[in-house]
Amino acid sequence: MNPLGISLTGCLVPGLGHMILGLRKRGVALFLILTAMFLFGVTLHPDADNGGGFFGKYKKNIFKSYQGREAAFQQTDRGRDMEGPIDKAWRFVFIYGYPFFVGIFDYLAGYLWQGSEFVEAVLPYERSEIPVAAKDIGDCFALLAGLLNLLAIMDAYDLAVNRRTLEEAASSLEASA
Amino acid sequence: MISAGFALASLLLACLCIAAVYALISGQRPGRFGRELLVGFGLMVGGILVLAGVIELLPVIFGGA
Repeated sequence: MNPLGISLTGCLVPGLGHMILGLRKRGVALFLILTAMFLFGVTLHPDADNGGGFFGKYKKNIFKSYQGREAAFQQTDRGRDMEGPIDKAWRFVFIYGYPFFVGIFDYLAGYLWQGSEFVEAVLPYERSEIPVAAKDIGDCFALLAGLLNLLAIMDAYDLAVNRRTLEEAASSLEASA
Repeated sequence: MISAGFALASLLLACLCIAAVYALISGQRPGRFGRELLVGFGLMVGGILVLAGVIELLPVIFGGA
């Protein structure tokens, strides 16, 4: 498998690129940290009354694209006018790019988790009465998990490209020790 | 409204997670993970405290308060 392919496996499961490269502990640690961050984030901002939640933040997600499009048309004219090119670009990235940033596995797990009844058991608030500040903290955690996974993907690419050099350096170190 | 403790704990948890990922991908030997984690965490929390202090002091320095 070429370095790009190895690193892009991180888009499926965080840390998978490192695991393929033989760095199992590092890969597992990345997977656990990033998954925990994402799940913590969506726990603080779960779906409430079928309209909100982290996944509905930009009115639609990849699982509800048609329903989301309907919702977008139901916005007021004023709301549509206020959406500038940066908002539109960010919405596009968030809907279509973000699942790959955070890892498809995590995105799917988070989506199933936030809709489940287990969230109520963990949350200190009622699902429909979560303070806005707590929702914002949740969004920060979930977005941060995606950005950190991008760094992990880049690290896996770097390791895959320089694998031979690193192995030679390690073996020469062992030989000299 | 959320409590100050919850907000502070969230901030520290986020800093810890970022520092852990940084320590994992910084290219250091596995034995130095703890040191990298502490350095990353300290720099982040310290930087936030310094920034908060500077932002609070700005009005005093420039006479806006």
